[in-house]
This record gives sequence, structure tokens and C-alpha cells, in this order.
Amino acid sequence: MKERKNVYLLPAGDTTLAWYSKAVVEMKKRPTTDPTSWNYQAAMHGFNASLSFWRGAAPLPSQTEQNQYWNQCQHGSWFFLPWHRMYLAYFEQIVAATIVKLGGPADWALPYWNYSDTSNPNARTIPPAFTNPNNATNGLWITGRVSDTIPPRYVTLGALNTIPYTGDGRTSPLGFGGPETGFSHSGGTHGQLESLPHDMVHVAIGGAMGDPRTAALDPIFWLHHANIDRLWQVWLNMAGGRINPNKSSWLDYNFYFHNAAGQSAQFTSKQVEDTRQVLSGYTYQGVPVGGPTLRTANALQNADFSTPLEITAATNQGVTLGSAKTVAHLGLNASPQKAVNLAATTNSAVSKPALTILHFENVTGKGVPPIYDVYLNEPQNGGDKESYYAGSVSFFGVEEASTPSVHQSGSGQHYALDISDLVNKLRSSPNWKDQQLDVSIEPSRAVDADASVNIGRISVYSE
Amino acid sequence: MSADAGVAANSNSFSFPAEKMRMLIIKHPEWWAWFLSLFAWVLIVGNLFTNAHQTGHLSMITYCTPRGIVKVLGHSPFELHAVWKEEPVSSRILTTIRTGLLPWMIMVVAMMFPLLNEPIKHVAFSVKRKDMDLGIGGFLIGYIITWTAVGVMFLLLSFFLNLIIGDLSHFASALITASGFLLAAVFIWHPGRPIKMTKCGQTAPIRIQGWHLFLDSLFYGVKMGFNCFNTCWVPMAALVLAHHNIPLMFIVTAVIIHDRYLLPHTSKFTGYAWMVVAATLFIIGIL
Ligand SMILES: [Cu+2]
Repeated sequence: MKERKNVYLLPAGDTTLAWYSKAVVEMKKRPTTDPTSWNYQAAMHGFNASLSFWRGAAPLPSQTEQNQYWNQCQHGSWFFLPWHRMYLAYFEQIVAATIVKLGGPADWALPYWNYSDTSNPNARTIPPAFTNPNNATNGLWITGRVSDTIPPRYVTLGALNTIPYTGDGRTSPLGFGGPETGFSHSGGTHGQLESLPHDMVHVAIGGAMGDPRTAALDPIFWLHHANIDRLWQVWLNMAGGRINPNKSSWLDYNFYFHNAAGQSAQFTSKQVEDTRQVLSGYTYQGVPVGGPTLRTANALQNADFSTPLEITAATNQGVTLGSAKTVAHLGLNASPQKAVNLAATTNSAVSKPALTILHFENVTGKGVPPIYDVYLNEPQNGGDKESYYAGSVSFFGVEEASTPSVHQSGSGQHYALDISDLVNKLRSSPNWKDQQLDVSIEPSRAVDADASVNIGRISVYSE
Repeated sequence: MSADAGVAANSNSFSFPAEKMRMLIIKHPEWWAWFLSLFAWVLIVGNLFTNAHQTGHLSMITYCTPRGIVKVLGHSPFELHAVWKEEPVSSRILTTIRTGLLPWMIMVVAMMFPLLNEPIKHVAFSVKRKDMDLGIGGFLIGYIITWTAVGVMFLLLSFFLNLIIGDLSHFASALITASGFLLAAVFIWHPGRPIKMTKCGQTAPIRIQGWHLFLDSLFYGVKMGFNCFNTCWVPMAALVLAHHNIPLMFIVTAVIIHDRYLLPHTSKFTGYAWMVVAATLFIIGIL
């Protein structure tokens, strides 16, 4: 049984990262057609020949092989967590085998990067081994990272408070893992853990990491995803109704990979629920396994019977985001008689605070846009805007999701923010209007010239 | 947020099976389309029993009667009247469309509506609950509009083919239909096919304000109708050649539902299914 360790807690003189670096260099020497090569492994997550990070990757495997094994990463789906767990397991096996071949230790395990660790002042910075030296002699370095440090608000762990695994914020409350989908390269509502911190860390680092079609070329990708994988177990350990899906469409769906011998291999979600059973088995440092139940025996879960949310407001046109703040007025554009109002959201007769979710639907765009911060009813005169902060959206993978392909429909992405607490707070303010909600969307950093975002519809759903 | 209050409210409603039932219905608005599909099947099969011996009429009965599973291909209805060929071409075209379109649309409702779970849910949950049926209705009307245009096209095509080639022997028609399914099989291996399949999962923003709601749903229906046509036109055309043979229709429906919901989009299973259909038709044609 391997233990995946916290990269910031590796003892002085530990060789885990040194061997990882050597293995990366070695894997980069293998041709792209070799399933155990660095390029092939990264292309399984995503690939696009026109992106500069992929220059020099040719010759490539056949189109049939690419359709089967490449561009497989699951996003906006309840397969997000199990697919990445499978992907990491085989990658770890390949790296470990490479290290053995290079004369290294037999028990190499992938470390994880816990950027949310508030007890460590350096936690939000990429571990130094990945940035120093900052040239090609360092296997762990890659050109083009926009930032080495993630701002604190993009690594918070509110997702762990989400009880249901499955949910889309429309037919059911938001889910920790994502909505029920088939094979989903993009398209469904991003799950709570996927949106924050997962997507945020990708886009905050930027460069290769900012786009799913290049992300896995950056060696830090794998430590980031080990942490996301760890958080799945942390969430299960919190119990209180936190259980995995129990539908066969989740448990038995098959995904394709390659093992360290370069042979085709498969995994289902059911086979990776318990980390100790995945290949040679692993646990995470400081995270117990095997405690609470993974899932219930009932075919239908309570979520199947819960009342769906209902839409209470929506924009009546698309919203294009630019380099300045964009404000969308929800409910304003309808004729006065037909105005969709937020009274349902704010009905004070309801004893419990209503669940309110802000949706960004059919989001299409180009390039790698920055993270955008979202504020509700932000006062014109500035002042303390933090008390109007609703959350952030990162649009990780938006360009790919905008183009129909073998793996996605091209209808764009779907993000959702739980704004219940903020709306409940705002509605007691004297400025609150039942007929109108102003949604301000601001880029967190300068927007690249070739990046753009268009949101098909912004909507509010409530209980 | 008070999570406790939410849990309490939920578990309360769980104790009533009727409430559970109501939630399931609200959460599965696609029952609407399945119900219409079932109704269409009842119409089709009903005609089979009540009119089993009446062939030769220019009606839906003619189109939808299998005339025995062994004799897979009958003559097209316009061949059956002695006087038919004396009529001017324009009136024959009109008659073909007038008599052929209704059975075609019933076939589309029977076969295609069960494929629409995802887009129907998309529309239904994009709008307020009171507008759900309006949205779904608009979507299905849009979807039908596309398939009506396709139906007119198919009918004209089969009319002119008949005009040019004349009446075919049973063997020749069986061969043509079998080739249609063979072509459908080949298309499963076409590199462009998975892209077409993913487009069946497309969504579009629906405005919830006034008549925008209906129009957006309708246009979304038109678009999805086109996407479905793009993936399904070959087996559908082959079915028209087989004069809507009912057992065959049923098999084709089962294959495409299985393909839509139970297979990964890169699977080639459906290709083998079409090959089996083609081979069976070919053998029946020889016999
Ligand atoms: Cu990722």
C-alpha cells in the first residue's frame, strides 16, 4: 500500500520530487505514440494540435486510437472524480515503473499539493522544486505559467459542506461531484469541488494548466489532482449523508487507459471507490479510509424525490464579458406586467432561508480567460465590495467546450454558484428590490487579447 | 443556510407515496413525449389489426400495413390503382404527399420522441414550472417541423424514383432496402459520426420572457430535429423504402433507443445491428 504524501511535509533530503523530475525527463524522451510517454499521458486528458504547447508532438497515434484514448477527461459530470482517480492511478504506475528503470526506489508515490492548508503560509505557492530552476533542465518546470501563487479566495473548501454527491442546481440542489451525465468531456454543470478549488487552481496558474487540452503537460497538474482526489475521501469521511452515487450508470461506466506495460486497461467507478483497492492501493497522508459507508443500497436516493428548484429570473439576452466590469440586470428587461420577480426568493413568510443558485449557462468563448469575480447588487460608489461577493467563475476549458467535436456538443459550459447566504443577507438591506438583481462580473486580472467569454443566459433558481 | 430545516421538510414529504410520485413526474417531464410515442404506436398497431385485409387504399393503412413479415416490400400505394398512372404528375405528387405525410409523421412521433429525454428536460427546467408544458410543446412542434420537411423530401424522392425506375420486383426492392441498412452500418464507422452524435446533446439558452419562451423552445426543437435527422436519416430513409414495415420499424426503434441511451458515443455496436438487419432483409428478399 502506497501513501501519497503532502508535498510540503516531505522531510528534508526526501527524493520523491527529484525522482519525479527524472522520470518526467525520461518520459518526455519517449515518442508520442508510446502510451507511457509524457505527451501521450497528457493527451489522454486533452489534446489539440494547433496549440503551441503541442508543437513538435508529431508523429501521433492513429485517429481511431486518439478517439478511444485521448481527450477523455470528464468535466461538468459526476464522472469528474472517478475518471481523474483512474487517470492518476495509471499515471502513478507509469512514473513509478520509469523510476525503477532509472535505478530509483520501488515505492514511489505521487505527492499531493494542499494549497488550502491555512497552517502553512507557503501552501498557496507552487512548491519551489517546480519553479526553480526555471528552465528546461528542471523536469518539473514548464514555460508560460501566469502565476505561481493562488489568491486565498480561490482555494477555499466550501464544497466540502455540500451533502449530495450528484446535482445540477436546477432539478436538484448542487452536487459535490457533479450532475448525472453520460460520457461528458464538458457541458454539464461543474460540480462544487470541480468549480472551487479545482477549476480556479487551473486558471490561476494559467499557461498550460489553464486549458484542459494542455493542462496535464504541466507536472504540477498531477499534484493538484492528487489533492482533489484526496478531498473526495475527506468529504466521504465527513459523513452526515455524504455518499457516492449508487446508480449503475455511474458505478459500471467503463473508461480506457494504459498500464505501465503500455497495454490497454479499463476501470469502472465502482472499482476505484476505495483507494486501497485501486491497482496496488494507496492512502493519503493524514486521511483515514474505510470508515463510513461509501453509498447506500437503495436504487433511488432522496435526491430523486426532492423538489426541483424553479427559475425565478433570467437575462433575456447573452452577456459578453470584457476587460472591464460587466453588469447584468436580471428581471429588468421584461415588460413590467411580465417582469419575472424575485419575490419567491425573498418571501419572508417562508420560515427557512431559501436555497438560491446563480447559473451561468451556455458559456462559450476563446483562449484562456481569467477568473471572473461575481458580486450581487454591488453599490455604484464602491465602498466595501467584499460584502457583496457571491463567488467566482473560471471558465476552465471554455474554448474546447465551444466547438462541437467527438467528445462534446459545442453548446458551451455551465457553472453555478450557491448564493443563498448572500441573498438572505442582502434582502434585509434597504436597497433590496424584489424586481431586480444586479450581477456584476469582474475579471480578476488583465484579459489576454485572444480571450473572450459569452454567457448564453444568466439565471437564478430558487427553492 | 439551515440544512436541518431542509432535511426535515424533505423527510416529511417522503412519507407520502403520492407526493413522491408527484416529484417523480415533475422531475421527468419527458413522460410527455414517451406518452405521445406510445399513442402513435397504438395507432400504428391498431391499424394493423383492424385493416389487416384492406390493402390497396391510398391511406395510412396502406402505408403502415406490413403485409406479412416475409413479404417485406409491397408496392408503393400509387402503383396500386390502375387509373393512377393516367393522372397528371402534379396531381400524383400532391396525392403522394397528402397521403404519405400523416403516416410519416406518426412514424416520426413513434420512433423519434423517445430519443428526446435530454432536450426535453433542458427546456422543461429552463422555464418556470407553470410554463413547462408550453416550452415542451414548442420544442416538440419545432422538432416536428424539421421532420415534416424531411418527410416531404423523402416522399418526393421516392415518387420520382418510382417514376424513373418504374415498379420494382420484390427482390429488387428488398435489395434496395437491405442496401439502405448496409449504408447505415457503414455510416457508424464514418469518422464524422461521433461528432454528429454529440450534437444530439446540444442545449440552447431559452428566454423565459413572454412569447420568447415559446419561440426559443420552437427554434431549439427545429435545431434538434436537424441534429437527429443528421444521425438517423439513413435508417429512416431505408424504412420509407420498406413502406414503414411495422416489425422492422419496431426493431429499428429498439436499436436507436439502445444506441442513444445505453452505448458510449464511440461504440460500433449499432453498426453490427444494422448489418444483421440488412442481411435478414436480403435473405427474405431471396426467399
Ligand atoms: Cu483538472
